[in-house]
Amino acid sequence: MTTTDAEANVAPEVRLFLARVRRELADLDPEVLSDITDGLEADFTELLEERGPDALGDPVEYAKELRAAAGIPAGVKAPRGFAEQVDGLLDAGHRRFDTALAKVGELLRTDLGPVVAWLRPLWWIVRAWAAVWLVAALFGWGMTSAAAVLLLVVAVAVSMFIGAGRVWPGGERGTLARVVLLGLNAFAAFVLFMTWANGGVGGTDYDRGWSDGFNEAGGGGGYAAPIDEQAGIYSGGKWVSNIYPYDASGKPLTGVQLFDQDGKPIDVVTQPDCTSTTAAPLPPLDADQIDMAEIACTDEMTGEPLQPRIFYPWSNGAAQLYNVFPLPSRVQPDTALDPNAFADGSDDAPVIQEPPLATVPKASLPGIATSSPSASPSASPSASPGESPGTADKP
Amino acid sequence: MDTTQLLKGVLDLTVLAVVDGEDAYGYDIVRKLRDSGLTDVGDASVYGTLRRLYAAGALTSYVVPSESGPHRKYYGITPAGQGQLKQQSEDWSHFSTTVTEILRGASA
Repeated sequence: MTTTDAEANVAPEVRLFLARVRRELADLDPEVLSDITDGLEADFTELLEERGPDALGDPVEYAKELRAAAGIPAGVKAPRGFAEQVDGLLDAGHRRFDTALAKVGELLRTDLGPVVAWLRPLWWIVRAWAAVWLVAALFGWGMTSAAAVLLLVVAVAVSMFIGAGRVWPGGERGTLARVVLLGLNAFAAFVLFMTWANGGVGGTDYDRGWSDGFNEAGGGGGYAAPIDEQAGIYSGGKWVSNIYPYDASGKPLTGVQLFDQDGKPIDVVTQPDCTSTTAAPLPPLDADQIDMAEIACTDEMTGEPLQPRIFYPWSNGAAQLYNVFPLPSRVQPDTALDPNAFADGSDDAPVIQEPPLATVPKASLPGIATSSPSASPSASPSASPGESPGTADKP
Repeated sequence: MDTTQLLKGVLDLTVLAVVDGEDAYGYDIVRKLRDSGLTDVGDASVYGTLRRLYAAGALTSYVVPSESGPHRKYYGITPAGQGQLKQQSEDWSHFSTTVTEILRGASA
C-alpha cells in the first residue's frame, strides 16, 4: 500500500475496515494484496459519503466475497499466534454486537445504526469525565474546581481524538492497542458505575457544590451536611426541621438532648428550611458573585431566590450538637454557618423560635413518676408529681 | 428468484461493458451497475472481478493521485478485454434468446 500525505483525510471507519479486510487476506502474496486493496481508501470514502457507515458491512464477509470473485482460494492460514487469536476474539465480539444490534433494530422496526453512531461521541465525553473524576478524587479536588474543569476540557479533546482515530492508536489498531483501549473503556465504565452506586452522579454534584461553598465559607468547620433521601427525621412523611419538647405537665422545654435506642444522637438534618413563611427574598444578586449552587431556596411561584432558614447547632464545647432541641435558627442569605453568629451583641443572632404551641395538655402514665421538671426553673411547682396546690404550704 | 447466482455468471461481461465506454474506478463501476438495475451486486464481488480480469490481462489499471484525499485506481479495457467482451456478449445474446424462447414456449 502506498502511503500518501492525503491519507489523513481517510475516515477512521474506512481505515479500520480496510485494516480488518487486509488482515483476512494476510495469507496472500504482499504484491497481490496491495494490488487487490489498493485504491480502496478513496472508493470507500466515496461509498461512506453516499450510503453511510453501515454500507461497509462486515470485513470478514467482504474479504470472503472478494476472494470468491477474484478466484483466490480461501486462505490456508498458518496457525495463528496469540495476538491474532486475541484479534479474532475481539472481531468476533464486534460481529456479535453488530448482529445483536441488527436483531434488536428489527424488533423495534428502527435502524439503530444512527443511534449507536450518535452514542459513541457521547461515550467519549463520558469516559473523559470518568477519568477526570478519578484524578480529582485522588487529589481531593472538587469537580467544579478550576483544575478539574481545565483537565476535563483536555480529557474530552483527547478522548474524542482517540475515539475518532486521529491520535494513538489510530485507525489500524494493533492488538495491544485494542486490548489497552478495551481495558481503559471497561475501567471507565467501572468508575462510572461506582460513582453512580455511591450516588456520585446527579444529585451529589449539587450537594458537593453546596458543601464546597459551606466549607469555603469556613462556617461548617469541615462538616459536610449528610443529605440524602434517608437522612433526617420524618413525621407522617414530612421532613422534620426542628423538635419542640414539652414536659408531662405540658410546658415547653429548652435544651433537651435526644438519643436513640443505641445511644446515637437523634439529629435533624441541618439543611435549609425553605418552607419557613418568614423567608425573605434575597437581596439583589450579582450573578458573578453568587454561585447558583448556593441558592438553596427559590419561590415556588416566581422562581425568585429566597433566603433560607438555617439551623444552628448547640455546643458542648467540643462538638456541634444537632440533637439538642429546639435548635436555634435564623434567616440568612446563604447556607453557610456563621461562626460568629452568637457573638455578643449580635442583633441577628440565631434564636429559638416560639414553640408552635404555648402549652399542651398534661400527660400521665399510672405508676410512673414523671422526671424532674422541677429542675427546670421555669417549671411550676404544680407540675411536680405527687404534689397538689397547697400541700407545699402545709406546716 | 435469487439473482445472486445469475449475477455471478454475467459479472465479467457487465464489468467489461461498463469499462469499455470509458475508464472508471472501482466504486464508479459499482455505482454504474447498481444504477443500471443490478441493485443486488456486491461491492466486493465487483472488486474481485476487477482483480481477476486484470490478472487475466483483460484490464489495465493506473493510479490517479488526488490532492485532497487518497489516490484512485482506474481501470481501462485492453484489446484482449475487448475481444472477451465481444465474445461474451454474443454468448449472452444467444443464451438469453434461447432461454426467452423456452419460456415463451412454456407459457404458450
